[in-house]
Amino acid sequence: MKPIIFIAASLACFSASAVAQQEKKTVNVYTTRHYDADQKLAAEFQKKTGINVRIVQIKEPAQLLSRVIEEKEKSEADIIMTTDVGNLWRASEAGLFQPLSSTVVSKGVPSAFRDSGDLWTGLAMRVRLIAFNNQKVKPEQVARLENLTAPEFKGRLLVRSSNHVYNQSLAATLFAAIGRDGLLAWSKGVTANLARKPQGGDTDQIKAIAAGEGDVAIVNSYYVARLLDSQNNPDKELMKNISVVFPNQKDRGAHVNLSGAGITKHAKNVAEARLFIEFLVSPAGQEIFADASKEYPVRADAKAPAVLRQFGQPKLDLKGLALIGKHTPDAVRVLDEAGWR
Amino acid sequence: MNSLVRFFIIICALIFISPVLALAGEALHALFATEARLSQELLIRYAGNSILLLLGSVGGAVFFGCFSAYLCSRFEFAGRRALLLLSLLPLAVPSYLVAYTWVDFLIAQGVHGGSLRNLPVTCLIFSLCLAPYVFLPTYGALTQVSASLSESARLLGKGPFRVFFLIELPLVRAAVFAGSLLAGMEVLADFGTVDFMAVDTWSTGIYRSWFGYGDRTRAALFSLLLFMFSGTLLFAEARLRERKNLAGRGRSASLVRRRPLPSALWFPSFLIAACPVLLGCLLPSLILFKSSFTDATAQLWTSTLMPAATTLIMASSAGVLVLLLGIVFVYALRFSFGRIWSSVVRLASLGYALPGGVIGIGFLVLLAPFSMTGSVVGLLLAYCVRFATIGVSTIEAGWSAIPRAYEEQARLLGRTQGGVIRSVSLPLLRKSLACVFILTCIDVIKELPATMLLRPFDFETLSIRTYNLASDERLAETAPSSLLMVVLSLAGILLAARFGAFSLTQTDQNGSANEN
Repeated sequence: MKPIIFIAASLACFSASAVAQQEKKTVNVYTTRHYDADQKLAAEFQKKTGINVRIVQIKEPAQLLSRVIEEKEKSEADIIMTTDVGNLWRASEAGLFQPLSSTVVSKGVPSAFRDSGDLWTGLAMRVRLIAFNNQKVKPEQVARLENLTAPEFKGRLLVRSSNHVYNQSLAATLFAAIGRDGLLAWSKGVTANLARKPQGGDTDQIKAIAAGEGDVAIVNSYYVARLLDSQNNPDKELMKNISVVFPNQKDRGAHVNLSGAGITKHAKNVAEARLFIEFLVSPAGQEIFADASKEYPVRADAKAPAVLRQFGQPKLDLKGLALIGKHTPDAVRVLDEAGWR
Repeated sequence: MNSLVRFFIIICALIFISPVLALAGEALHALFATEARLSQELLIRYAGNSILLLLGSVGGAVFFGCFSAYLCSRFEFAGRRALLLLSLLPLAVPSYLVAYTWVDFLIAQGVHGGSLRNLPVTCLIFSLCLAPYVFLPTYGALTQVSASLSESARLLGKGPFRVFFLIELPLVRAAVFAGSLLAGMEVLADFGTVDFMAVDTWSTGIYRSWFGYGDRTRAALFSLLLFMFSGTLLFAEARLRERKNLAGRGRSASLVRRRPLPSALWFPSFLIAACPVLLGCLLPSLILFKSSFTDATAQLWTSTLMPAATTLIMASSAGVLVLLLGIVFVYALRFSFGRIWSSVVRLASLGYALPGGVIGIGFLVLLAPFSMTGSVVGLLLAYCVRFATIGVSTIEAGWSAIPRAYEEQARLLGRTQGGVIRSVSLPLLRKSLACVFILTCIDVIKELPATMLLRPFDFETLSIRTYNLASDERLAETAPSSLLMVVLSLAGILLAARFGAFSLTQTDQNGSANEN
């Protein structure tokens, strides 16, 4: 009998703590993000409003959406929060959101970073930029993504796998901008110029430039910011000969992607959920995004992460942003065709 | 009581099979789907890679496992008993952790990532991590082989190596195959390691379909195919085992005597045999240990405590449940309810053969109507389905070693069936029961995908924490949680070995009895 008592006791502990939390005002967040910034945001909000923030984090957006879809009207989720605007699009396509109906959000966040149907709002941005060895490459050589297919970069490009959503979204915006054939030609060109099989994360590409495996890499802004800001000497050493540019500044702008959130259709705590999202886009909330996770805020009046300000304010590809979700499957198919693993 | 057991088994079988049925229902839609999808050429390449990886990894695991098993069962040398125990330790470190640690460490030493992340290195990593799966059954079987066969062969002029390859290896092939099968299922269902190592396998196809193409139905279809492949292997193995356990015949005859190992051979053989534990457990642990005290902040350590406690509670609760399940299931096998019932029980083993992230979807479909997604109970249920096989196989092995006469006599003396189980069978089985508990704990500690998908609010385990930090490219910060995972698992394995989980001490007694 002992084991059964043990299980019962541990279950009782779990459920007791759940009940205790339920009595307070609560907002339940399903998120794919797992950054320290999010912990900080939740704690700040809790301190300010007394509303308890409970979090379930599922790394893979498709899995998180599956969970909400299967839970149907019984889902406990009040808010879905995710990186990558394609996932916000998928969630709204699946009918998981209800309108935000918040003037705080619609006044604070520029319309380019919000859903046209008011189903979700962007919270923070990351820009996909080009990092390069400044001893061997001049910034103007890598001013456009299209330049990377030039023969001069043969055997010098570094990029992660197209299994990762960062590259899938980038390809989806290119699909929108230069069409299927344009994307195919571009990704074939990139694949032909690779220094090594696509592998590792964005930080690994930067490490590979430092190690001399290649000279040019496509990486996200906040990894660069994190390395530049690191207290760790080897990390700083890594960036010694590496510079970055925002690509396509003279035409469509650099590829940008959003983290965002919306209130679920079956939310039980709608008012609390709205308050939380309003806090996330408030100046105080936006500052935490910029400070703790080195993302660009979406508010026009909020400052970029300190360590990224030296590179200036980038021009962003806002037209592509809205089309990422729709084009991702076709874009992935093109990447497959090009042989970009 | 028997009808109660039957009822319980039917309920369990329904629960166990329903995630697979849900998956099949989902896969059915794939036949009608028309959107953009993974090309056939790519699928064929993924399948090819999976097979190469399977052959390379299992081949390597068989090499390391059989080498150590042969060395420890046939030779007497300094450090033999230590080597027996050491050979188990790679079980404590998940293969993705070995990959993270080594690759990160070597890149920091200036090795190019391009020369590390490839198929051969991945095979090597799996070989090291999975060698214990082959070592354990093979060592057990080799110690049971009758001496007369090999001695006759020796007398007829065959050298020790030919005796091994011509006589002994064929005799223990069922054991080698059983171990290879477990290792192979782990390789096929893996995604974390191959993704990190930039090797595209069938699992990549599953996840690329789902996450890239947003095509859950084809992901389900591909998982179902994988499931059928593993299931076929599993049933083939069970048939092979049922037919005849050749190695088991040696019990009554005299056992092979261990000969002293020539001293010139000691160092090279010990080194080869120790490869899995050195490269797959001790050195990675050392690297983790070092970086969790140099790189990790105190804050990182304190934030690891709560996940550690959660992990322990979940692991031990699941351990107890799998234990109880195992007893009931094996009870049905033991007091043979008939062929159909044993097939039903065998179905329980299949949960192991599916990639966790995909079987998770089956659980979502199963649990959602009862509002049990995101509950501790639902998660425990998922662990039971995934790991029931540990309970069944371990308890079955233990129970079959207890002569039926014990139970029959107790019955004749007037005990009820339940009374016999309580007062005779279970006390005799306590070692096996302890093992089931500990082995399940170790697997739950390492489990990631189902936990991630089904977890409740504000609930984090060590494996989730490690994975999240690693996928956020903060490998250095994973050190405390990784290290705790390894330490907990190591403690579990040593405890299990203490309880005779791996029948290492038991065979030792046989060996020494023989020598006397």
